[in-house]
Amino acid sequence: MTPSLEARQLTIEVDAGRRSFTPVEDLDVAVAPGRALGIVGESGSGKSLTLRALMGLLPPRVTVRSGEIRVDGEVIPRSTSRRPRATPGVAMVFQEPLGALNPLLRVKGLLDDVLRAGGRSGRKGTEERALSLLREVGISDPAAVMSAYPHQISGGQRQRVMIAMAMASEPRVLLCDEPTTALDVTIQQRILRLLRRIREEHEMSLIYVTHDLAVVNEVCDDVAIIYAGQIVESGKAEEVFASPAHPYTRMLIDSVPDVAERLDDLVGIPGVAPNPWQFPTGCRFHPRCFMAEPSCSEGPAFTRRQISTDRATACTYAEQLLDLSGGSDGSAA
Amino acid sequence: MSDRSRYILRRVAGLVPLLLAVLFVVFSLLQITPGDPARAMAGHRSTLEEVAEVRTELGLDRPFFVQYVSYVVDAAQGDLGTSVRSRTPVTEIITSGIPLSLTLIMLGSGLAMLIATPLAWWSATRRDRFADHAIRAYSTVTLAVPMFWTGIVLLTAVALPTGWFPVTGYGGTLAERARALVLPSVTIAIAQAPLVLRGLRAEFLRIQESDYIAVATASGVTGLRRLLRHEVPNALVPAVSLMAVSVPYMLFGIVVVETTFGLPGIGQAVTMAVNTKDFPVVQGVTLIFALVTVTTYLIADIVYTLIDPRIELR
Amino acid sequence: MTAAIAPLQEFEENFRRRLPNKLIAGLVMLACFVLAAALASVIAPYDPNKLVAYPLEEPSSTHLLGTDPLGRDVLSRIIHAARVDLPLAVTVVALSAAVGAVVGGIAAYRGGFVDSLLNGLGSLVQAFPVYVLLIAVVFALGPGARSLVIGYVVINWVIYARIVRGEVLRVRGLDYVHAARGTGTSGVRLLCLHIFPNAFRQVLIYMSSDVVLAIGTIATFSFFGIGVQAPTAEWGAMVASGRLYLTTDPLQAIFPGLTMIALGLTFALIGDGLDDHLGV
Repeated sequence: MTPSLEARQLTIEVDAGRRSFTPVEDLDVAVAPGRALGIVGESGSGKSLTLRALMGLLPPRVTVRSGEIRVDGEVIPRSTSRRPRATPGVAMVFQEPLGALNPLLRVKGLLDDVLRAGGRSGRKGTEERALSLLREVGISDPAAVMSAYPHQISGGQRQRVMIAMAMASEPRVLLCDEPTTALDVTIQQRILRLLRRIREEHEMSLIYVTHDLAVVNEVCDDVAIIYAGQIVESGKAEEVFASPAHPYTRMLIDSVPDVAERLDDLVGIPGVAPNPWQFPTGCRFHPRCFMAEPSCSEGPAFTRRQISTDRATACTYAEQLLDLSGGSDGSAA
Repeated sequence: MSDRSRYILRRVAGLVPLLLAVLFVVFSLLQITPGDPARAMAGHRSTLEEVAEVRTELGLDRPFFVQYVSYVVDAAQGDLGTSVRSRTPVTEIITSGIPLSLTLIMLGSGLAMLIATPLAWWSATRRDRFADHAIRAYSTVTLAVPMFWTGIVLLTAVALPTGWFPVTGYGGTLAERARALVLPSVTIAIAQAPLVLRGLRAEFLRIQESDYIAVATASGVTGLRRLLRHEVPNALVPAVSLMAVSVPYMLFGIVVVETTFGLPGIGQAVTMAVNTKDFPVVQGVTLIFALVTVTTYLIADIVYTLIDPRIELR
Repeated sequence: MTAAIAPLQEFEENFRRRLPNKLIAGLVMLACFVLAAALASVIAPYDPNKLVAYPLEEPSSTHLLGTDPLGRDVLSRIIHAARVDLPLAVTVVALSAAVGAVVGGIAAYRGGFVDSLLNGLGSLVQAFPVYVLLIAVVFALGPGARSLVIGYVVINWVIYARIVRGEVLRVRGLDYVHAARGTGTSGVRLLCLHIFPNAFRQVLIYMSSDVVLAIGTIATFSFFGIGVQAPTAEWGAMVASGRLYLTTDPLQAIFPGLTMIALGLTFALIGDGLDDHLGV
């Protein structure tokens, strides 16, 4: 099946004066129609930049050096930070709604802006459409919210407005950059439920970037684990979580504090993520890996290989790891 | 009464103690003068009677506190004393000079904004490219150029060879006056622009990297619409505060430029008074300059509340 | 966005340890100025105050920049003026910084009445357009370099006091200072070891741009005749004396100005470089 949105061999370059570096290298990621993909990684892993590249909106001085973005199999002309061009059919929800909503415009103005730029409705229909969008994202008093400034409404409402703005362009793929991190837990649950609902109603695909495995479990069908600018493991979310095929995934899962477990059982990941201008050779995870062999530090970066129809891992010793976790469901084709 | 007018009233009322202190400083200028100010003012060749006359006229023979109170009372009634030299009331000197000076301030700062805003935007947009380096170098260099020198270079290089602009003086007709104001305004703007430019560039960088600009772009709001609806409005608040902060420097510019170009504003009045030891005039003009500064800050604060909905009227 | 460009910021921090070219260029230029000022009597071809030729001579091989309206050698006067302007500008700025640092430090450390008194004084001075107040103060004290220095410090200390006060309050709230306190480090030691070095960076960056303004201001005051007094060679005063001959001899006003700009630029470069190197 042709993916709704995919990145092939994506390399992102950051230009810092005379030097430059590539925090994302040869990254492949794809979301199938109607499915939800979670991209999970630590901060600085390149997950947000990847999302930005998929959206076609990289920050200043950051460019796509090579690789391509495809929508329904069609290559999208490359966007540059000087002349940014949003990927068609894709919309994005940001992490910090307060920073993502122009503080000087009322919600009405914000929605008006988006609706009119899309050219989807004339002057008259805009307000009707805006109100119905706000209702759709579960705002109970749309008229009042319309005339409020972003700083006057609650965090949850802001994020709903943000989602409404994204929905205004009737996207086929919705990108979410940790949209609930800034919210408290109960609001977080409601926003996640909202995302799930509108995804089903509109038959959208969803890419959800986060460091929170629990959220992925809740919202996503598929998962891709990103480490040091590359996807190290991918597959169906439940399979990956049940029997990880990469030591990094294993350690991520183990590091999730579980209230049922005793504190001593909590396993952190030793060391820190490498700086994007000095990635280790060989497998980029080897300095922190509990299974690393001398050969892991040699050669070019490890690429993913298929271990079953819809699972891939970059680890040479994936089979050992799968045996270790005792699961056979992962390796069974 | 609206919240805003109440806010303005409260702010104005809050200025009273500050103004009293300002008056005290201006008044004290006379006290820190080494020697006898009456003698200095009367001139070297004055007789003892003349000195005594000046002293009585200025009230210097009364106790310090009485002098201060009467200075404040007089100032409140618009009486800032009389020039020792020309015998004209200081208030008259100020009212005849201030229209010119205020016009210069407006023209100078307007022109400075016209130079600084597009350059700052361009510099930010082309960050770390040639244009950015060139614009930043320009602002570094101009910061080191004193205004009187810029004025003199403009006179030598523009006014003298072309004859388009008067070398000195103001003129009677509107056209003559307009021509006389061109080079002085340009001089002020050249000095003022880099002060604002640096701050504005940083603001534009912040704005262009902000998520709301990314959201606007993602939704297809681009080009002029994004610039005018998102980038410029968000740069307005910092621009206003940068302008307000640079006003004290601008007022010094007024003094320099009016003196260099021989324009009869309050700036020239103060340098002339300094050279002729005309205490009341120096005091009066200093006071007016302080008033202008304080008023600018106040206006800036009010303007913020008009352009940024997040600022509460406290 | 912050999340997306975080690696870029980290990257920049990593390479900041190298001295910026601007800073090096500025320091080299400053060294040249200091050398020229120190060795003025050796380098300058003539006595700056002697009438060595006819007035207003064009630049020639004997008088590289010509002579002034009195017949003194312009080049020699420009070089000797560095002995006046450079130390004067550095002195006023250093004194302002010293006074400001002490007052700001005390205000932040003592708090309470002292602090509010300082704040009140600060906003009073800032109610005036600073340089206009300086004119009035210099006028009241009588023209000359001494009045200029006193007046400058009077108007200029406030900003340093604010910087130091802000920095002390900020640093005092940081964890390592609490930690140092917990281990019984004395107040003075704390101030010297932890707080001043931090505030110093900010002060140093501000100082270098302040020197640029000071050079311009001193020259402007001398240009008006209320700064450095004749016959001492000073750039602003030289421009003023050359100003009367603009039509026939514009170079009289141009050369001293260019020198002044070069010195200003030197400190501007140092300031920019320091900002890149140490700034936040």
